[in-house]
Amino acid sequence: MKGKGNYTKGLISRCTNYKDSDIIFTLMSEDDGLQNFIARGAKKPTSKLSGHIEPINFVEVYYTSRNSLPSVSQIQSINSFMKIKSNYDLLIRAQYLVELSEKFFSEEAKNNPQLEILIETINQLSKTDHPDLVILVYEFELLKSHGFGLRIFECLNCSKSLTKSSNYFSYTNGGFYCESCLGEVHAKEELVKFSVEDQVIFRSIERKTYNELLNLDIKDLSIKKLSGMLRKSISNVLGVQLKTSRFL
Amino acid sequence: MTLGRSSLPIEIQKLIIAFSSLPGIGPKTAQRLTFYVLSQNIDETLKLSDALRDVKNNLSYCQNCFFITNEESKNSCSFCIDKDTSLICVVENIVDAITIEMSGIHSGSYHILHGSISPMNGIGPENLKIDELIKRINNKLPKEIILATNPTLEGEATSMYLSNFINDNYKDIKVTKLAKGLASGTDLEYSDFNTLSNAFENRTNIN
Repeated sequence: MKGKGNYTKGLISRCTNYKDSDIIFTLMSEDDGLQNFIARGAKKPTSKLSGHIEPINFVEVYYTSRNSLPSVSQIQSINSFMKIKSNYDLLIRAQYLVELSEKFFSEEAKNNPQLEILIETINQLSKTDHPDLVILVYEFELLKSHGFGLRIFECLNCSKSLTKSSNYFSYTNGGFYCESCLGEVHAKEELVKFSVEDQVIFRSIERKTYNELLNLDIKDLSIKKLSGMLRKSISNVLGVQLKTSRFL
Repeated sequence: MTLGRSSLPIEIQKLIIAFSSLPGIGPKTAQRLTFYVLSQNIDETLKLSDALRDVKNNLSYCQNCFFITNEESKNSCSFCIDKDTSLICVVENIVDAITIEMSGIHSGSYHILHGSISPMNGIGPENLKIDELIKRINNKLPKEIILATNPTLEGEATSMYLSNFINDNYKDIKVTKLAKGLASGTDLEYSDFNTLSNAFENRTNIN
């Protein structure tokens, strides 16, 4: 794709029909953060753009920006994640990942690492037998990379190392309180008791690779509980509830 | 000193806002339409307002296929009559049903979902007429259900959800979906992987 105009790569996060045959879509681009584009005539059956413009498509886009909204002149799919799109459960999960990542995606800034991790995670979703674990790891790492990492090794109140006993998770403060600090904070916020086993999972996510995590044989029930807590933390950080989260 | 919209009579402002709420109508077009309506004679304007009122007052959805009906009996409409009820074509919107009906290729009945599953917009199966489709299936088991949702991500999600549900709960019903592939007039060179893959999967024997 050479010639006049601009070029970028990215993942399409959402599409909206505009007028009779145009589509406006949002791209999580590797060069300029979240970008909106207009694809004129893309809804016509003979359009050369139509098949490539779909959410969860990793594409390269060639565009001109004479007006306020850049207009797409060529588009080519790099990865359509077809395996994900042919499975309802995986599709819902991929859409959750995209919506979550979109909320943390800064506008007009290079986002190469975050985009790469997102695409790698969606790829992993299509290969794994444990999609919820993939999502849990992604949520955990995303919070960490944006400065909202959970405090899982020391108490949020007294800063002492957490002992090998039940501790109390606070999603509003993103971490654990030890048993001895419980009296001081319990009245102020909602806390959830975490067993040693569940805390070990968080610590393992922090320390181990995804393949090492698979060998731990983590129970689905634990993943569900930890994901629920993480999602509350994420909602607290973002100030909004993700629309896709209720479908998981 | 410029004349702002707020200095216009309240009636004009209200009509501009009402027109702006329509899809594809921006404030400039809304303003143009408003002044056009103002320039029309009273009979023409009343025809428009009567038509708008009648659409809302006289029409409702058929409780069988969910097409629009102005009939008193809401359990079936003219769109349901003389249709093969053993064949149900499930579509997203009323216009999709009209398009298929006008082509004359489907002799069975329809079920209009009034949307598609779109998690990014917070639209789930409970927001569509899926429960009504299940009730309809339970009342009279069809032989085949044709899933004619749009080949978009949302349409495919809806189609997958319905096929999973029907296959899990109604073993005797054949579930089919419309073929996907290359459209007439397109170039192979510009086709995306998904379309090409579907075209190859659904290739036909021409011997």
